[in-house]
Amino acid sequence: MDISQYLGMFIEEAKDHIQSLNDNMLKLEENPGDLQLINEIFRSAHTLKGMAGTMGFVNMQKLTHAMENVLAAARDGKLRINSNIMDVLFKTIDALEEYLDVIVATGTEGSEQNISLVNSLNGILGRPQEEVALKDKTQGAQFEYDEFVIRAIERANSQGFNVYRLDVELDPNCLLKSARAYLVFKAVEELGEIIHSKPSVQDIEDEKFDFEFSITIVSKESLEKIRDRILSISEIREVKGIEIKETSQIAVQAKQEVTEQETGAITETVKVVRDQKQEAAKKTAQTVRVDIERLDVLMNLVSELIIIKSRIEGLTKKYSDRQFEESIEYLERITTSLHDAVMKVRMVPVERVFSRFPRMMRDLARELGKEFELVMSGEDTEVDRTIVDELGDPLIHLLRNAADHGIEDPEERVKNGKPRSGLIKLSAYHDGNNVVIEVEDDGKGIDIEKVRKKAIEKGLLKEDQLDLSDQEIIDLLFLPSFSTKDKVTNLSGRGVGLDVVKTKIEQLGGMVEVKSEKGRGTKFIIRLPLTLAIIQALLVTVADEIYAIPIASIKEIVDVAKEDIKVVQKGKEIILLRNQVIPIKYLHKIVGLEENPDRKKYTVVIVKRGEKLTGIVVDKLLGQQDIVIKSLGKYLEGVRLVSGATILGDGSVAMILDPNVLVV
Amino acid sequence: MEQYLVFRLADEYYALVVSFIENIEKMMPITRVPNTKEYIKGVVNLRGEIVPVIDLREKIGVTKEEFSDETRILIINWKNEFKVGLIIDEVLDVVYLAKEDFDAATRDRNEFTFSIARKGDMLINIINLEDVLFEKTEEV
Repeated sequence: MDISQYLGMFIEEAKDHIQSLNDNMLKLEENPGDLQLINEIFRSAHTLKGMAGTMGFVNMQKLTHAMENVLAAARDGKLRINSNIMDVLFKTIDALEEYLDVIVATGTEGSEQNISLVNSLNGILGRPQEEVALKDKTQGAQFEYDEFVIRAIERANSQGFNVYRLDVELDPNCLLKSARAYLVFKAVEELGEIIHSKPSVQDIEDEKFDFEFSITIVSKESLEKIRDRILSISEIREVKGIEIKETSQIAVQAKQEVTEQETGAITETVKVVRDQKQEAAKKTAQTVRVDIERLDVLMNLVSELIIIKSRIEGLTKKYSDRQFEESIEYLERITTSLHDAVMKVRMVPVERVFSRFPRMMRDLARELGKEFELVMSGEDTEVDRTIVDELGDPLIHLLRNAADHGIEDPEERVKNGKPRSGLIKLSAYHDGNNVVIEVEDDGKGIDIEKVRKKAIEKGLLKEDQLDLSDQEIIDLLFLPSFSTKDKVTNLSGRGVGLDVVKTKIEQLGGMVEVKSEKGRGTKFIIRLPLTLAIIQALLVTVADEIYAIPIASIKEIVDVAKEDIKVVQKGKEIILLRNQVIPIKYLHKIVGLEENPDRKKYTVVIVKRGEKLTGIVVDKLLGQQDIVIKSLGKYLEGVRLVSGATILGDGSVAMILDPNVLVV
Repeated sequence: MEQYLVFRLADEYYALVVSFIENIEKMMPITRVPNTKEYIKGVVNLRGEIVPVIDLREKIGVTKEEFSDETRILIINWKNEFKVGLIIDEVLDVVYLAKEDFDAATRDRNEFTFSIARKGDMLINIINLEDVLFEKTEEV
């Protein structure tokens, strides 16, 4: 069988399982006695083992198998989970992730056997390594159905069919085991439908089984009849059959050692788990995994469509005809809907990034010897996936920052009247055309004096600049290579500072702000556009050039008379808008053009960056339009002021102004 | 032997290896990009793609001149990393040049490296594209 075609599927599913292992282990750490969690973890491990086995990833299979044994013991109440065991299990998950990374990169699992880890896992159960094989055999007797089979059983039961599990034992002297098994299969198939077999049909055909195998069948016939039919085949030693009436029975069956009381609980557990799984299964059935490159192509085509639509709109002004105009309006509606639809396809929840943080923060807390809790909210907030993919690094940085620089040692917290354990909040929410992501801690806050001193030391701040406000001082943190940490730890001392976070976010067309209160904590606020490709923009002119300003960053537009522009402090020009002082900049100066001599009124576009505002004086407003952002290309990379270009309806090019540079 | 595109800048002959040249375009509307070097004239819309355009005359220090009907933009594809247009005065010919056609490399004008090639009685400045695209040319 050529398995390579399943590799992609394996990788995706294995990722999901590893993620859920991580998630559930974290929950288990808080609640070590939770049988439901252990069960779920066991299921993930078990499925992963099976998947790895099917794909021929032997080392991975062995490791998951050892892990499964530990989990099985815990589930059966033979083992109590403690923090040491948790650590080993976490390490195992890491190792599995490494296997997966290697598989992603090379298509094979590599040669790492993780023997010491397998031994630690076996050591937990107090058994030497050679017993692994033995355990495997006893495991074989145990019965585990996947959700697919459970559903099939339920369906069969509800439709009045009988479901039987048959344990067939072959005569030890039997020679052609697989042929014998084949006969059994054939006989049973005359009487019903086989929905599950253990080992798998493939393994049985390959004679990868001892003298026993189990099949589960759906049939209208009685158990007796089926049993007799099988026994009529030669060299069958015994057939044990039971009827499966309820799927909860499976769980009970598997755990005969568990006491009455506990049985109830476990049955319930299986049900709950199953319900969730069923939902998940239903959902996957209705979705399709699409190669992101194909989506990009689709997106580009939509972009082109929008450009040509604008162009045709321009033509309507020339050829005025009612029918023509109506068609154009229709085209406009379709284009807009198409754009929305494509956008939605590309949207993914930020959970994709968030999900790895709980685990990361757990390790971080241990490493730093600090106590804190990570609380996440808004994981379902959706953003264009190009943005989501880029979010990981900046967020990791900010979270490490919060843990390392923000949260104090437990003793210090207690001394300052704070709860011993710190709190780090990671939240995401939509705000208009933006998505906002906040990383907040209740730690010691940014030490303004320390930052100021450091800035002077590093020559970032001149002696005559000492009147900077606290906020301005805090903003200095975003300057390249600024680090207030005296001690370089292996966490933050990676030679990168907040400037990297800032650059990354700005590359994505977003911005980052920081608010801090001494002794109370720090909050980083990241604001990002929902998408990168198509935005609403205001087109303005200055002299004979057209510029586009992203609507998302415009607060309002006002007309002011020349005398309303006041000059303060060494020639700074400002206007007063509802008693708020707003600095003014002239677009012609910014882009290096002469001023229009017969300017009468001043049209001021108020541009915002976070809470900061700046008024940009332009000549004329041309109106609002959907624009497709095109990069200026690598050769012009690094041109400040302009974040890209767009093609207008008449085919000409207009520069898109970068609001991050306009507002200072 | 390699193929070169020979073109005119002012009254001199220049040439570029053809393998870099993706296309030869007629002059088209150029949109200025603020905050860039003088010789970067701006960007053009090349069938939906935004391509920066450099005035080669200005860049290598030949006098500045008005564009004419013969003015062309050579679209260069730099190792698939980016495209850039070079404005030249007139496309003349495509020629094969062999090793023996070249004189030793000379350093000239704003520190660009030129080799001189002779083809018949024509003297051709062979442009080192890397110099033109990347060498710093800020006036002191």
